[in-house]
Amino acid sequence: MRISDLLDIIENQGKGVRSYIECARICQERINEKPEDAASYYLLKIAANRFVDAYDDQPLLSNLADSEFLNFKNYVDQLHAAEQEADPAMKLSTLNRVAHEIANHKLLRSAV
Amino acid sequence: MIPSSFPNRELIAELTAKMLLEIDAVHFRTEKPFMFTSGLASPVYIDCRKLISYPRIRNTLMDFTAGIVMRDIGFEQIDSVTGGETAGIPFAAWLADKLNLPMHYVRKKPKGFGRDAQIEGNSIEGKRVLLVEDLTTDGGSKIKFCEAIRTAGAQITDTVVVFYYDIFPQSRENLEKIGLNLHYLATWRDVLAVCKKQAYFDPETLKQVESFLDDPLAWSGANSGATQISALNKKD
Repeated sequence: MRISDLLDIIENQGKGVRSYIECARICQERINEKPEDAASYYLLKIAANRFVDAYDDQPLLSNLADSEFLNFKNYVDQLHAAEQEADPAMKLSTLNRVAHEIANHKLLRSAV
Repeated sequence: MIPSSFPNRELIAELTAKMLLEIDAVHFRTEKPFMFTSGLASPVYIDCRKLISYPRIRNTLMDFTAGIVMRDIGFEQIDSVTGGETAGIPFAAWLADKLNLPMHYVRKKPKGFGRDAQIEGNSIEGKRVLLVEDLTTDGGSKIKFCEAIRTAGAQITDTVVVFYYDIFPQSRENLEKIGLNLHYLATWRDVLAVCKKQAYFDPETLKQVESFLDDPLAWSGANSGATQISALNKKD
C-alpha cells in the first residue's frame, strides 16, 4: 500500500468522520509495519484524528468536508513526494513543513 | 418526580417533533447537504443538544422518556442510567433523576487501562444498565458504548434516545446483533408529518427530504455522498 492510497479510503467512504477513523487506524498499522516511514504516517494519523475530534457528533457540511479533504490531500501529496526523495535533508524539511501546517490548521465549525 | 402517567406513542412522537421544530433543532438543506459520520450525504440534520437549553421542553421530554422506560422495560429492571459521551450525559443525568436511579457515563475512548477505563462513576459490574444518548442514526456509537459497558462487567439490553432516524435498515440489524433493544420518542417521519401539517419549510424542500427518507442511499449517491454505509468493525 502506498501513502496516497489513504486518499482513496477517504473518498470511497464519502469523506465522512468514519473514513478518517479508518485512515488513522491504517496509519497506525503502517507505523508498526514500516518504522522507517513512521514519521509521515504519524503526522497523517494526527491530522486524521484532529478531523475526527472536530466533527464527530458535530454537523459537517459537504463543502467543508470537500475543503478538509483537499487540505488532507495536500499533506499526503507532500509526504508522498518526500517518500521518493533521496536526500535526507529534503525529506526532513518536508516533514517539518507538513508538521507545521497540521499544527496550525484551523478546523472550522459548520455554519448551520 | 417519577411520572405516573403514560401518554400514547403517537402523542409523544408528535409533541417531540413539535418541540424540536419550535427550538430550531431541525435543519433541512437540499443544496450543500450534510455529511453523516458514515459518509452519506443528507439534506437533514438534527441538533438534539439544543434541548439542554430549554428547561420546560427537556423536562417534558424526560417525563416521556421515563414513561417509555417504565412501560416498555419495567419499573424495577434497571440499576444504572448510563449516558454516552458527550451528548448523552445531560439526558442521562435528568433521566436518572426522574427514575431515582444511579447515573454513570461511558467514554468514547478509554482513559488509562482496566475494565472500567471507559466508565465514570462507581463500578457498574453486575448492574443492569440503560444506555442513554440523544439520538441514533445507524447505531455505530451504540455498538462501541455497549462493548465498553459489557467489558466493565455490566448487563445491557436496552438503550433509549430522544430521536431515532429510522431510515437505515442496518441500524436495527446492528443493534439486534449485539442484543440491544432501542426505545425512542420520535423519528424523521414524525418530524416530516408535523412539517407538512404546520407548513414548516417550503414544499420543494419537504419533497427532497421525503425523497431522502424513502431512499437515503440513492439520495446520497445523487448528491456526491457515499452509496453504502461504512461499517465500523475494526478497532480504531
